[in-house]
Amino acid sequence: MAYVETNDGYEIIEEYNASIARKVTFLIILAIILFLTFCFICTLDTGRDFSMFSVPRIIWNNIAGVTYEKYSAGWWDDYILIQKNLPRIAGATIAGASLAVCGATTQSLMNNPLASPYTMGMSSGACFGSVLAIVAGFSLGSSIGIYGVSFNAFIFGMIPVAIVIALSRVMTLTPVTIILIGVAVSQFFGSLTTLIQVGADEDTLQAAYLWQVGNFYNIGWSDLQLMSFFLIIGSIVLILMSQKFNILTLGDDSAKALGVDATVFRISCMALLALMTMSVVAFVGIIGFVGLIAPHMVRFVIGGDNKFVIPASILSGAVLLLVADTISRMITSDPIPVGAVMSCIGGPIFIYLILRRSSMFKGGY
Amino acid sequence: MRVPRGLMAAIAGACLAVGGAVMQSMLQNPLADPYTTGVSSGASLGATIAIVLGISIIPFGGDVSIVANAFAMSLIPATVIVLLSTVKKVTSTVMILIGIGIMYIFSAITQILKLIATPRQMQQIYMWQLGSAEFASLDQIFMVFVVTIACTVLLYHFRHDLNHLLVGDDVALTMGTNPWRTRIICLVIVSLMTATCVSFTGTIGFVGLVVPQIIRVLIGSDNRYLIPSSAAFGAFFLIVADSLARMVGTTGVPVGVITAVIGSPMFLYLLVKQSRRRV
Repeated sequence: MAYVETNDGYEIIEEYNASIARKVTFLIILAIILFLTFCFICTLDTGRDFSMFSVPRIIWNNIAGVTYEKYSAGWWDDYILIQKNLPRIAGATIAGASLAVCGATTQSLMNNPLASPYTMGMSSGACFGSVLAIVAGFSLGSSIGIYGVSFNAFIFGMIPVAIVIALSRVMTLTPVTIILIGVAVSQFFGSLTTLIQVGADEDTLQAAYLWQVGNFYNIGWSDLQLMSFFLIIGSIVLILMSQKFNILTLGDDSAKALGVDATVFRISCMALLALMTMSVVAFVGIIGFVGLIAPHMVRFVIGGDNKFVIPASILSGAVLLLVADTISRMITSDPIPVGAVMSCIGGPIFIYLILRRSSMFKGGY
Repeated sequence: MRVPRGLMAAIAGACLAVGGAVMQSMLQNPLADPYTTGVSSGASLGATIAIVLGISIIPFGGDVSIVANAFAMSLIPATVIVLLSTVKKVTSTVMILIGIGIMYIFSAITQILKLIATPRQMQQIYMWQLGSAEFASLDQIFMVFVVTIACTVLLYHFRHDLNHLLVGDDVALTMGTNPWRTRIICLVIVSLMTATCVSFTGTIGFVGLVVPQIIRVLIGSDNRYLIPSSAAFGAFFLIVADSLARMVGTTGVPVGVITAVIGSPMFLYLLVKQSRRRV
């Protein structure tokens, strides 16, 4: 009897190790896919013919400070790639990773498969906050300038979350109701964003419109600093906390018994997520559905363990937005905003997720 | 110049408010209106396809072909709603969320189409997208007027059936109302009037949500009175909103912005009230 028990124990351990190995393999495969996609997209639309395998070399040479003779082949490759194409491609990668990690953690925090910075209204809040700071010169931050704008975006990005958390203390909110609150808040902020731009000329209107749809047209190297800063800090913190996210999925009471104060943890994490969302929205505008889809694709393959879901979401979100951005550039001669492409991909999946949930719970929403 | 704009606002307001009142009654859903269920965005996509790509299900007839296209596309969300309410039995919030999902997809496609076609007319496209009563000609106003009147009369004809639906499908059946048939007919009519309106004003959100809800507070949910008073108050509401939109700043804003500022908090309130009731 005792022998059989130990044998069972071994089997469980072996099975566990095998599942960990599977998940690690998935992470490695995702990383390779991201690398290859990144390199391949770097070779598109350059007017030069370097292969995708020379991309890392060109980037490395640039970092290492290799100088080329002016107007030589190597100089042109370096110029086109580093100055012209790479900011946009790197921007899409970083924004995708940021939004996806925000989506994965929001879904765990709210126990809601439909949650993401976009569907919760955080993106619109952040967008309104930054437009308010820029157009009206009104900021809750002490000094006007990029920090005032960012601070404003952060504060307004937190408003939808605050509404949801406050309401959920006085009444039971279903996952669908939470998302509908997010939709109402984003409609409200969206229209206010338009209102405060009254009297703006055609160019400003177009810029505002593009911002509300999300695009990578005018992104430069300097814009990427803040975005990548928050991505790196935020991801490290969230990956370190992934065990707490797992505990939170057991429900608030069980989490408390296991030493995680759900409300405090939720609010502090949402503040961090609002910072990450703000850093993306401030530079590329509102891009929806990346944060919704990427974590679901990952969970579909490797299950719901946040230790793996969070890093895998970072990678898959980057791939997803890179691909969407490339589609938005390639589909016609005029580039279309990447946010519109993302909505076309994300909308059907959003509906699928709603329907799947509601059939599982048979009217129990 | 001012009269057409005011007329258009009045007719569009009446049209959308009646659509909202009927949808709320037949789906027993306080959050339903042509905008939140995706019918408006379907119509908007259809109209854009006709204007930008010149593809229509009726290849002749100018404005008529635009409306026909808008109507055809608005039937897609309408079909989804009928299927969801009858076959799948989802709750009212789930239905609205699916409508919003449809809205995301359709407006994204609409945006892409518009960008492909006319990158230079951005400002006008932008206004149309958000809804505005500014750009209508007298012929178009006449057309919207006729369709709105005809559809409202038709819907008023179903007032008793709609009242029966309010007490539930089973009871309605015993009172001689076929719920499935009533829903389909009413949805088709609502889609038609929404499509006509949206073809010339763009998507104006939340009118169909706000107006009938205010009327319900004042005179109750009896469709005999709800439909005509919604029409009257909707016309009034959109004229006021349009005047506000015109007075903001020097250039004015699309009226859809004003209705969204008023309507989205109201939507939020209804949503919260509904959740509280269920708890």
